[in-house]
Amino acid sequence: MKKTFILVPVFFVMLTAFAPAGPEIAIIVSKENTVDKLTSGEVKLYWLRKIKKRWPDINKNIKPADRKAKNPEQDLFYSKVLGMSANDVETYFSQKQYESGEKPQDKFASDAATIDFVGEEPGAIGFVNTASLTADAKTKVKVVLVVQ
Amino acid sequence: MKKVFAIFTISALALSANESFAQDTKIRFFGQPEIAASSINGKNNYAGVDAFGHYIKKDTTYKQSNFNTGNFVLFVTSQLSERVSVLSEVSFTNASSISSFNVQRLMLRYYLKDYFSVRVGKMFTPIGYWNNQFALGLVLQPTIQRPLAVRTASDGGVLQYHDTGIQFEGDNITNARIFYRLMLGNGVGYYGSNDKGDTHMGTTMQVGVEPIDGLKISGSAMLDRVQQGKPNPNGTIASLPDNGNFHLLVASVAYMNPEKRSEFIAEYLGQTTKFDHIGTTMSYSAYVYGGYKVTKYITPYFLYNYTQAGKSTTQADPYFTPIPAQVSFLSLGVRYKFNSSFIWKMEYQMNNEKDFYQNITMGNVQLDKGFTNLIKTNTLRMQFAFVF
Repeated sequence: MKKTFILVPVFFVMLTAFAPAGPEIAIIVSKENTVDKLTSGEVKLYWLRKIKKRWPDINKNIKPADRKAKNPEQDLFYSKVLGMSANDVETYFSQKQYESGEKPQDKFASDAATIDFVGEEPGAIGFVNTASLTADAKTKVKVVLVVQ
Repeated sequence: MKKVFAIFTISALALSANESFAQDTKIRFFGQPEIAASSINGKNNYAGVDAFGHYIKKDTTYKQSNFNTGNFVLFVTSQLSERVSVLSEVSFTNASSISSFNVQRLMLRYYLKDYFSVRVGKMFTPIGYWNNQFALGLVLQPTIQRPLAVRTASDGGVLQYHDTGIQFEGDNITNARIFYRLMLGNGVGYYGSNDKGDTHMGTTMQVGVEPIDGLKISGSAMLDRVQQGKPNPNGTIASLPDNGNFHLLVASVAYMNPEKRSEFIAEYLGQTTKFDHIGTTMSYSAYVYGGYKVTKYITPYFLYNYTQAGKSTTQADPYFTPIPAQVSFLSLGVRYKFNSSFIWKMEYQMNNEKDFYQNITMGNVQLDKGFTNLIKTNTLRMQFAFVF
């Protein structure tokens, strides 16, 4: 019994140690954007276009970039940064669009497509897995926050 | 008004012409089939007035159940440039083998700053909370039936829920997140006319704050002049008896935060018409909505609405109804959100309407005595609302 008592915790510790780590996401903006660092709360306000519709310094429309299909990066962004479920996010943008014709978030199939969009649009803000930020990607976008 | 629209459109397009931008169009389609069953438990005794000036009293209690396709709404928005966007909303209705098609909204918006942008075209009048948030997209609306105060004229209401004109607006001013709307439009509508056809322009204002996320407190006012000889908005009076100044004052408190479990909306709408010769008439309506998200899918809710049409039980308000009336209802319902595009709702509504029929007199002779007609209606409704 004693042996079992020792072996079970050891087994669980080993499982935890070898379990794959959760994704780490980077919040990215265009190189043209003058913003260098943002807090999680600020990212939420900008991405949801809650207080501002345009970036203060560059005077460009804030364009939130999202992913088309559900994936671990999106889950992490929604839960850790926005504090909202996927349904709540969709309803939020539908409501805004219905009320005032405000354009909803753009959606992309991959991190590479998100990086291309954010790199080309001065007002864009998006999230990608940090592993997708290759040297080439870093020439297009800059990271303003990392979330684990 | 047409001139203002043309000048504004040309100016907005000219101002945005130097900004390179790929046009981005989004099309959505809202539909809301409905299955409704209703039964009248009380007796509805009024069936008209005979040639001798006597009330005809007849039991017109009935039961019915029906399927209803509701409104189908085609909704298109397009970002024409960094600052200019357009929105159009067209509804199709098919009821009793009559199909109708309505341009609900068609507007162009020029965004200058967060605290100043301009809309021009046909849009929802900036009155209260409900009217601007949930008008026709029932997938967004928390209940099946709207409160009586904010129902469309075709549904028995009197609210000028949309109007054509120009609107100046701003949001998120200071840390209190003050917002404002000022609309100059055609103003109050008359039955049977999509846009009213008189010579007076209506002014609608709204000022509010959003001190915490999702909590909106606002006051709105609509000022206009109504014209003698025109029908009232819901068609219950064919010809208004006098010219008059129309005022609608609205107070709203709403807490609708998708991140929180509790939902709450309360609004008071008070309408006064100061007729030039026959005096002042008034009506008011107030409602409270509350809901609580038990899980992320299920939200039970209630809606209570009280409306008084007319100053008292003896004085009617020709803008609303030819006889004084009191209407109260309580709706208890539940909403199941499959996802953000598909929602199922079921609602049980207990509706009490008291119509105060007055004494019928000819000169000093009383032909018949007035009476109060109580109509009780209990309705069970079910709705599938979707958007794609």
